[in-house]
Amino acid sequence: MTAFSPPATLKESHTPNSAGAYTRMRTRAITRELLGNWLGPLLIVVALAACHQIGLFGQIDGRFFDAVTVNQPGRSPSVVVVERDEAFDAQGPERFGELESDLARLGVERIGYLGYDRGAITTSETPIIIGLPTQALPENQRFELRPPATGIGAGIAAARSIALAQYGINRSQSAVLSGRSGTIPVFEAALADTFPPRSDFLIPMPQQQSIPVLRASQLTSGQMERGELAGLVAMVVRPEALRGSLSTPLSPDRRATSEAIFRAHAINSLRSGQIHHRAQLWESWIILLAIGAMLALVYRTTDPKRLAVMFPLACSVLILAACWAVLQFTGKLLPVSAMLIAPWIVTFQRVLERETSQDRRLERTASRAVQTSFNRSALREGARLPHFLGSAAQYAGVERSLLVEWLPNGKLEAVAANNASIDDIELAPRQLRRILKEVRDSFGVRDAAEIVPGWEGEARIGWVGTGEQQLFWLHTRPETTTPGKSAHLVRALVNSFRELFRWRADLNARSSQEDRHLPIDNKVASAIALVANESEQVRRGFDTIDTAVIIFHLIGSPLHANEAMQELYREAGLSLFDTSLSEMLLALTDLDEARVEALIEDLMLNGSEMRMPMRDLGDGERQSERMLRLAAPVRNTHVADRILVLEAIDMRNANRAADLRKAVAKFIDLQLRNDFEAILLGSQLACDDRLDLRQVRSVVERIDETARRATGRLDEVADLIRSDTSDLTEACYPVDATAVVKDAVARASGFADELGVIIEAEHPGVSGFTLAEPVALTDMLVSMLRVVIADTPQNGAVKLKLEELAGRTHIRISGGFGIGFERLLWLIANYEEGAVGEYRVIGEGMAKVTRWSASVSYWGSEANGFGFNVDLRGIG
Amino acid sequence: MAARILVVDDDPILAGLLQMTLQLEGYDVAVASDGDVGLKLVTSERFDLVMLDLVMPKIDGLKFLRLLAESGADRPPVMIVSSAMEEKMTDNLRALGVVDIARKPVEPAELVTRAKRALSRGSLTAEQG
Repeated sequence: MTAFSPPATLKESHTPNSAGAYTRMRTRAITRELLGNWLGPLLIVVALAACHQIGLFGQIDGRFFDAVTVNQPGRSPSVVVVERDEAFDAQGPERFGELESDLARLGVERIGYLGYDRGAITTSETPIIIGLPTQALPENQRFELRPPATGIGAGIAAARSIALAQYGINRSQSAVLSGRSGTIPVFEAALADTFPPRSDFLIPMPQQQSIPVLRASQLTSGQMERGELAGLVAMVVRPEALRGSLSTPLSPDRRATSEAIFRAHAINSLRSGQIHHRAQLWESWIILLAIGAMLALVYRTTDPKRLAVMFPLACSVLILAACWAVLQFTGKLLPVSAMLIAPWIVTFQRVLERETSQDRRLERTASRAVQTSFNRSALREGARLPHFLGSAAQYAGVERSLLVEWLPNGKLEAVAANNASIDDIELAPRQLRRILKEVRDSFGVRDAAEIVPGWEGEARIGWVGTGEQQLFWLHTRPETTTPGKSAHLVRALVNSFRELFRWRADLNARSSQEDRHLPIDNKVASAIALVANESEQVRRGFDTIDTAVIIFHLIGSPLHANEAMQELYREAGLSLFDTSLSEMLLALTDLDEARVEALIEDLMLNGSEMRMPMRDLGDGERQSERMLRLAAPVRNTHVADRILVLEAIDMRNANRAADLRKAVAKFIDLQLRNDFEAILLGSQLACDDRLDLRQVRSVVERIDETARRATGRLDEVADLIRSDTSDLTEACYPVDATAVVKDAVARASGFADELGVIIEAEHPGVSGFTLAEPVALTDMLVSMLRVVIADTPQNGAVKLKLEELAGRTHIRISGGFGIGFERLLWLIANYEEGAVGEYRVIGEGMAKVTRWSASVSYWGSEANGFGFNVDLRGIG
Repeated sequence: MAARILVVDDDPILAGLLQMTLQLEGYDVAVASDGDVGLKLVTSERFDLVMLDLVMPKIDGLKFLRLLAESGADRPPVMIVSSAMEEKMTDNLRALGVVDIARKPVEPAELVTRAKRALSRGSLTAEQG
């Protein structure tokens, strides 16, 4: 048999430290479990049990007992009440003996006298019980009979006592009392000859229970047959014992039940064996603790708010039924009140605790959201908010602006002022207060000419405050060239300011549950509104970025894409919501699946970024001009919050800048080579002895001129070299005009081929430098070519001639059938109003060429074709 | 009799300095400020060598060579002296009868040496012809 040996890893994991940590964790978990789920309910039931113990619920429990027992069906009576009527008492002293004999003849088992006035009992076949009054002894809860039982002879002395009424109602009785030397039987128990195990018992008093009452004279007259009262006990009472004197379940609202009837019900209960007791205290405690545990267990796994009504209601019904059944079948009165209350209070406590816990959690969540939004927004510096309003209003054309606070002491204080002062307010305080109240209560804006009569223009006052700070904004109506727009902007400013201010007031409320003034709902609502608002603003800002950007969650699902990226998705035929990061990379790059997976894995593990060229999506002009940049920022980021950002960077500007710098470098290279050649030759000549002084001076002058020329050329392009890429987008620089023309012809040749038109291009074999922005120039030349090609019959030719003259470069495009000059002029001149396609590009190009010291002219007439002339500046 | 050299260059400073340098070496030097003027001179007068720039207004160096070839005139040897030289142009230039290609800047002494060599190749070609 091999002894069990835990695996090595398991052994290692149970080091003392980890075991200690585990114990601490376990202890914390148990503590949290006990405090969170069990402590509350158990404390509640303990409190209820204590209340039950001190009798706080006695009245309700008794009412329950009454309700159950009063309506029970009656039983055969086991006691008969014998009234000592006047006719009986008028007889001589022997009357008691005759009565006892007659009762014995009728079959009565025991005879009880409620009161002692008959003299000593010598002998009797039937046991005779005498109910004697009791007197409380100085010792606690002890009694003695008065007069002493020694005078009653062979009779059995018993206490004629009634247990204390509960809340005014007599429904219980004791079987025995504590005497000085032992127990004293109580009258009912002695007469019934039944002593229940617990002295105190409850007396069921069914309304339908019959209690026979006979007159003693009737019995002694011999009217009844022998054995007619067999099995009963007789309670002989004086007439006053039959008069109503007690409030019992039979007459809870008045003292209408007689002592005799009350005792008769008690005797009935004892003799029938239907003895009812209250549950003992320990039983009540156990029952209530069990209910508490059950409730805790239920609410441990379910949301108390969902069960808030139905569950305690169901519990109440069940408890009532159970209590009824127990009382009915075992005669035990459970602590029904405490049992009924427990589910409701525990439910309330659990709901309250859950609400409090949710509030705390919501507050923590809100705080986190607020930390990200609130702290980086203007809200952080609440004191500066009014200044923001003042500045923004100024931009909207508001001439005068005065933000005032209505202080609790009724005074006005200027918070922010622009070209205004608190002294401008000239209205009497009473009228001013009335207007301020009106404006505040209506949340509106109204005319303020009477408040600030000194202000020129139309003055307005509006409410921008919160419940905590009463702010009013006095301002003049904006005076701009577009008053409608300005007024709209002012309204938007007021609304925005009011919202921001309210959010700030809510969010700045103290976070402590006990101390805060505002309910958590307001704070959370403000936080959500703030975050949602900022998210929307960020989203809108994000959408305005030219670069296409999408943010992926760590798992690769898309979180947000700006409009440029959404357009890219459309171009690529991808669905924004269904496409994962890997699918997107496969679609947009030439990478295979294995490389894409490796790339993402590396990024997720190590962060950083990667770049890859984007695949051509079909538009030839954009080919290889976009670069994808995939980055996984890891710094200061929790792993679960990590994101992947994919950018499709447009490289056109970068490429354009590279082209520019390349062209400039070529220009400098070629020009300086020429100049250096001249300087080399000049310096050689200057040193030559064969030259006379005049010739040397001439050479030196030429060297000087060459050096100046070289410096001038360098200066001419210096700005281009130093500029940022962003400044170079539309910069003109020395370009190879032949290359530009060749590019334009190549781009237009497809269209020419479609229409069967030939492009006859003429240009120098080696070109100099021409000042132009090559992209705009090429676009314009392509459009000119397309206009002419479209107007040229099949097999016709379009001519393009590039000619470089001293200091100028001419490009001439001609051909086609032609259109009227007026029409051509309109098409090109009105490109902003709706001209589309090529004419628009030509028009835009013509607007740009002036910046290159160039010009464009054109002509056209029907049947004579088109002509476009581009005259550019040559610089070497 | 001194050999005659035609300098065709649109840069007047450089053309003037070239002229002086070559004249000091004993050559008879004429200057044309662009290809058009140069072509007229070379077709109307006799030159032993043409020093030709490539980048020029009106008629660039390449066009000058083509037009010279097409003119049918007695073609002097042509030496290219230009900064706009690229490797890919060499074969094309050789095919158009260029005897030497010098990329600016060139040391004056070397330029003279190469001019002499071009002239000697030109006279050799003429004798052979």
